[in-house]
Amino acid sequence: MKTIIFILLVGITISCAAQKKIANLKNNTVERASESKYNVKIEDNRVSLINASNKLTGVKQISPNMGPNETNLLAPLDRKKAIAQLTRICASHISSEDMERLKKNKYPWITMRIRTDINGKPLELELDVQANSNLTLEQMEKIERDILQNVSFRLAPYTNNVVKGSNFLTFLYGIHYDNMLKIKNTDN
Amino acid sequence: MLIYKTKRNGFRQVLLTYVPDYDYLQKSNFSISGNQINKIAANFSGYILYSSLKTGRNIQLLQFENGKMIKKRYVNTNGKAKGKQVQKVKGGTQTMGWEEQCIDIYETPCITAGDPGVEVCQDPIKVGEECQDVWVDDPEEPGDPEPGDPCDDPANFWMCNPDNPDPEDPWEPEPEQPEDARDSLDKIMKDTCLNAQQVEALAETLSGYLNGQGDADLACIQKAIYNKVLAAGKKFGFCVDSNISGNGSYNPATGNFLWKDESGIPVVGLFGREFFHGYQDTHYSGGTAQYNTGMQNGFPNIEFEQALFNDILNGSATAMGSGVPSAIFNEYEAWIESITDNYTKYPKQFSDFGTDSNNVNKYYHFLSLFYQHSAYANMGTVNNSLQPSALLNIFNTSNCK
Repeated sequence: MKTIIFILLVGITISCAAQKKIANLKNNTVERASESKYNVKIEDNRVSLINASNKLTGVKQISPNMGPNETNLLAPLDRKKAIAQLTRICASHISSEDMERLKKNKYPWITMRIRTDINGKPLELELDVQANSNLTLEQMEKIERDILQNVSFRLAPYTNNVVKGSNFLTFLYGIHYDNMLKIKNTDN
Repeated sequence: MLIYKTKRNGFRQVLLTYVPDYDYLQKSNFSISGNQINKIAANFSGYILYSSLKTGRNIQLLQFENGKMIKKRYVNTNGKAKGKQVQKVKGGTQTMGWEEQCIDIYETPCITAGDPGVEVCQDPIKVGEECQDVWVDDPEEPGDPEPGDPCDDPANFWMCNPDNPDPEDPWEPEPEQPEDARDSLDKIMKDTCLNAQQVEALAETLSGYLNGQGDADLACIQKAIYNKVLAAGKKFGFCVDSNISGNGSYNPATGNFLWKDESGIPVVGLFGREFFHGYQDTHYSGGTAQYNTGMQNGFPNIEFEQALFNDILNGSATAMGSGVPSAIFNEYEAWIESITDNYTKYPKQFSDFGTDSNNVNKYYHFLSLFYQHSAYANMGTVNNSLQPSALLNIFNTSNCK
């Protein structure tokens, strides 16, 4: 019996240790989640997580046919849908308790920078979250994987000529915890 | 609903159901407001279903492509046998006959929750289908109409020929909207390089802009801008110019709106962005061309004011661009939420933008960040005495929020 309890305790300890809390991450380190490694930067109580295999971080976006105001690549309804889809994905990987806590923070959202090809298919992500949160690196990894696999931005037809020649496109959104919570509560 | 008077002085009532194609919806920014009961949009593609108000029975289905009717389908009301026939017509044969046709019925599930409410919609899902026996023929090669064809009745002439209303009919239905979209455009248009179809599309875009595409808050503020422009007596030119950078622009020196190609003309958001620049041109004494010449002192102010206006209206934080450091994005988004009280009100006084610890208005802080980080970085020079009075004026005088 003692042996069984001991094995259980060790198992639980190992399982807990495997989940890396965002709050425990150190600045300028590389941390491994389940499969991917992440470059960690901490600034102003926010943690920036960049998949170490990302190739476009730091690469300048070149869009020869795009004017300075590129905010309308998505039609309004498609923009709402895209944000709703991103919110739903986040909500599926974060507990209601964490959302309740995190929505009271100074910046109550996950900041996502999503780089896509010129057809709107996501290529890479950068995530930026509250430093003192209970969220884990593994949750962020799941969110990243889910978005890369399941999201595609529907570019407005009139942008065909505008995005032509771009090396990639960038979308930057704040995905709010209170909206995640609303989705979660509605689904339950 | 269409109510019309027949030649025998009777009144008829039919219901018209507009079923646009997805591609058309996408091109028109998911609005069919450009279609009126007596006028089909030049680029409308899809169907109009006529049904009886009394019995609910479907009478006929008209199919449109780019504003032109390409097929009529009449509902089988006399129990005719099903089956198709091939009829010889000029230049070949055509297939005619009864066939069962089904229309998929879709619903878009949306959930609104919270205060302020956030509406989350999923893709439309098929919830069923409605099938009927219909007569299929080609109106461009009209065959012998069937007995019982509602279009045989002269009283139905208008209904069956929406493109060619009966000139002898003394009564024609009034447009549903108080002012025709084309009239609204004519009031602000001085000249145009657009062709007739493009002008028609632009009139629809303006109509969508003025009705906020169904969003009452947007409609309120956008109508207020339009009325300001009207009151100032300002008129604009409208052209397509493939040489411009970006998908659209407003040139204050010429008073011209330019699109890179005609696909941008139906885009209400794009029109709204540039129309705000047109409004700025009427608002600022001497126009905004002064900020676009020489050292372009004040040019970033004009652009930031438009970008900020867009973000306040749309509940977004895009002004700084998508390449800005996350820290600045976060700070800007939090500021927008603060000055709008989470998008429930508009800032109306310059003081509503708040001040920093040095008592400097935060507007200038974010203008400076815009100047450093946005896609307009280092274009012209910031004018620190130029307040965003066009934006404040419209929020202050419109009483929209």
